[in-house]
Amino acid sequence: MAIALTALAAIFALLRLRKPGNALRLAGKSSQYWAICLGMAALAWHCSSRGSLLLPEDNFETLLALGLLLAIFVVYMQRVRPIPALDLFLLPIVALMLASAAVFGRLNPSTYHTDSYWSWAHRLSTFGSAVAFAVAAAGGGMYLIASARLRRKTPSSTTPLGNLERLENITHTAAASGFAMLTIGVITGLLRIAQNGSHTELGPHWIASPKIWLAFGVWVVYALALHTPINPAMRGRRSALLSIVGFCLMFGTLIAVQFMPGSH
Amino acid sequence: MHRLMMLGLNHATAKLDLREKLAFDSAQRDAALLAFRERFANCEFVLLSTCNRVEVYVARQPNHSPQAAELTQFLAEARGVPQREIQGHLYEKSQRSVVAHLFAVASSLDSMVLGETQILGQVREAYDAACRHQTAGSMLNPLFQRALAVGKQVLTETPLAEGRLSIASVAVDCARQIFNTFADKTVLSIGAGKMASLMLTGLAELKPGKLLICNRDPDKAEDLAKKYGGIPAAWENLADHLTVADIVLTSTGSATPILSKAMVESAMRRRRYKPVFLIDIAVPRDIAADVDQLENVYLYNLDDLQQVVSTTRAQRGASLEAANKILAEQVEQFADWNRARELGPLIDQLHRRWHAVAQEELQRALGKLPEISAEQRQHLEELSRRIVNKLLHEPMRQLHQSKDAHGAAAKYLHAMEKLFGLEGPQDPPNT
Repeated sequence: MAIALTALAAIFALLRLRKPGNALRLAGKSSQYWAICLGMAALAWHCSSRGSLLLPEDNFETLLALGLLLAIFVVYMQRVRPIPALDLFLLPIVALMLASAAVFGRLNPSTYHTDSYWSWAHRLSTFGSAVAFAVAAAGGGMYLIASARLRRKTPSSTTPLGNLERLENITHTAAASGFAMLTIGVITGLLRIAQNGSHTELGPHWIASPKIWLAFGVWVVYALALHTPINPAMRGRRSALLSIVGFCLMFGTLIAVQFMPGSH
Repeated sequence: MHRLMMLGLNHATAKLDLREKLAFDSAQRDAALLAFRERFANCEFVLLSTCNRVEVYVARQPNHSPQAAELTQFLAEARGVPQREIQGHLYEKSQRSVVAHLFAVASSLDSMVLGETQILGQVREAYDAACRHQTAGSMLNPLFQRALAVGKQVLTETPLAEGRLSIASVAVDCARQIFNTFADKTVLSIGAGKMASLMLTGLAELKPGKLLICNRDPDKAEDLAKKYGGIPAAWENLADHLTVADIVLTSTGSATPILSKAMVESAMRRRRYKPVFLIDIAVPRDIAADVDQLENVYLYNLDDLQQVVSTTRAQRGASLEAANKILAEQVEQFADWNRARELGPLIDQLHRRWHAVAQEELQRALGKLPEISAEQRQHLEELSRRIVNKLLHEPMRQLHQSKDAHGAAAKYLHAMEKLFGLEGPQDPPNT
């Protein structure tokens, strides 16, 4: 239900972009609020059924919590400093995360091992970076479209995506936050391995794990995307494009690890 | 009797690169007017050259030079453009449609930016130049005077000008889609003419942190800087100003581009590829077209801005309808007025000619009738006058009733001149 409502909110956002109107705005908002409420209810029910409210304990909770965090971020942004097209770019990602929670939570509901505080720190930081990268990707996508419109000499004042400077700031800030969290995630992951040796989910051949390499790939992409202070030629469209590539890799990593035995 | 024709190209038929090749500055226009007067004596000629159009308005004797082909050749030669390059982009109008077109031009209905008032000044300037060089006579004088009055009427009596989306407002809108804040931005104006002033009025809305005015003539730069609270900037340091500017407005009269790709590329490198918005409203262009290929550079020339403006045309239906109504009425009124003006002297001449013939024949007949009484003589005079009047009645009625002064009536008038050997009215040109 939450997935359907989120998808509906995204459709309303798309329609509103084409034909602005108060009715569409209200319909979109109410769909989004209901989706968040239902998602939180599902999460609370799932947590209470296992007797703990600590997050996250399995795939379902992780992906659901990530989706909800992103949905709440959209609501927050649209209240504080609205960008008309932000819903359109982020809500499909929210819907995708909720759908992934539903699919992978049922197919592979593996419970995580919490062997140390590093495990907690590792999970929180990597999942936090996923949310930040989703925001960076949305900002990057909006930047690319807005820039293309301006280059085609067809700027639109009726369906604005936000100005390039602000979109670049959002992309950069989100990517920088995500990158910091991912770095913490990578370090805490390594610390776990150092602490537990070959007893982690990745086993003795952890260095050959695709998860490690995908995470490293994401880290490199964002390191490049955040390269602008050193190499300003990377700014603008290139940076925006890298943010999208980075998020795709990140999301790919999140999905890929679902298919790896005991690799969370 | 004169025939009215026009030939030209505009934003709808030719791209900016061709328009800028054919554009006349005031000195070139003056030279063209003199050359035209020398080449086509007894013709009237007005040359209207703006950033959006180059049009020549001509009043000439029927079947006399210049014809359209000669005018094309004249234009091409005057600007040194190969004739074949412009031929496919030219449009040609004659008689009544010239009047309708000129009225539409002066009212901005033929402009990309509906409701723009600048065109009225440009039409006036073109007409004044023709008057100065005595190439506008009794045909083009009333036509242009009426066109200016119609333009003024449309722009003041319809909401067209009130809700106009100007080039400046589009530029402001574009700037807002690139930049988030303007207090930390620098605007650089290269050129300090009328256009720059108009644009800066619009850009002032953004409240930029710094405004630099760079012009070849430092006095002009200083004047404009004073007016808008800016800082005059030295022309020699243009490359440095370019490095700090986030919005660059160019509007000089330079015949060649002032900002090349290499120059902008170098400035971009030095400003660490921060986005820059370049607004080029000059014709010919001040910024090389390939600058647009550079990353984080958003270049808008006059055509681009006007293209954005023109998308609002559809939203102005009611205003357009009102303006078109005024235009149709005014074209009709001008046609009526002109027809009356031409018919009067011709009819008078015809009457006088025929009455003179009748009088001549009457005198000859009276000479053969010496016994005739004064009363009988009066009857005969009355008879001859009535015959002439009756003979002329039907043709005159037809002439008066022919509504289209530029079509049927003009043909009748021309036929009458030929058939009856009339020299035409004292006031030579007509429509």
